Amino acid sequence: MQERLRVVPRPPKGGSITVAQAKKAWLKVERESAAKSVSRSAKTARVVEKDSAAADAKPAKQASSTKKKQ
Amino acid sequence: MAQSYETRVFINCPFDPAYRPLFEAVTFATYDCGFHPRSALEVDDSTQVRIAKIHGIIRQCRLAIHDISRTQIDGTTRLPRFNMPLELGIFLGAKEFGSREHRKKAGIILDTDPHRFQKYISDIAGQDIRAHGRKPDEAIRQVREFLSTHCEPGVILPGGDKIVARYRRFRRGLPTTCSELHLDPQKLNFRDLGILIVSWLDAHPLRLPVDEP
Repeated sequence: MQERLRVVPRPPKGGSITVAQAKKAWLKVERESAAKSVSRSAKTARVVEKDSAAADAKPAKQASSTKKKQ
Repeated sequence: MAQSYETRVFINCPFDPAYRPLFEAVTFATYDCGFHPRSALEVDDSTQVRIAKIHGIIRQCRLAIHDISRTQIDGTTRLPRFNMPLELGIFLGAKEFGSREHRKKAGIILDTDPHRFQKYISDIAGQDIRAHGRKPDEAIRQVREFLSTHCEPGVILPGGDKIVARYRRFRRGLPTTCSELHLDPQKLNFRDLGILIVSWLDAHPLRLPVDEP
């Protein structure tokens, strides 16, 4: 006997919306949420990169000013 | 998949706002297991006596989920509400006295803990009584275990934990999706809830392990 996944049943008739409308809304909301998430990750990566570059620049400046004093 | 006596499940659960999270979880789990939930809430016909609606739904459903956890003293009236136990009794009566088709009826009884019923409805000892501890996740697992024994041979259901994870994803997206559709997620009627659940399930199909890349 071949195994098969259960089939999603159809909802009761009537209602304020159709299944097609609701499915479109779900997919739209998830696309927008995913896009926001990618944008936030890119922004976070840029901030981390900037902080890292600033941290690297500090010791280099300190080393340079110490050398001058000497 | 068309509804049939074999796939319809009578959801005999409270309708009050405090129970709503459990009601929605049970309804979601029923759909995700491939069954058709039915409820007295689906018919908004004030000309029909409520008990007549209940009779009609029980007649059409082989299976039932009865939640008697709200059989407790009401703070205002100091009386318990007995609708769920009454409807459980009607279902058991149909099973006992009905035709061959009705004698195939099966149900589970949900309560907050597995032994509470002994204090107020001990006649149902020996029935399939399961505890959800008022937690939607646990109610989902119990519903899944029950329905898995009533599937057609060869049908694969998602596991209880899988349905819990899917339900949580559904809940996270529900407010924004309702806003998109100009619906209030706190005031969804039974039909709109069913449509939102089925459309989510359609948008997030399950895959057999062999089908995954």
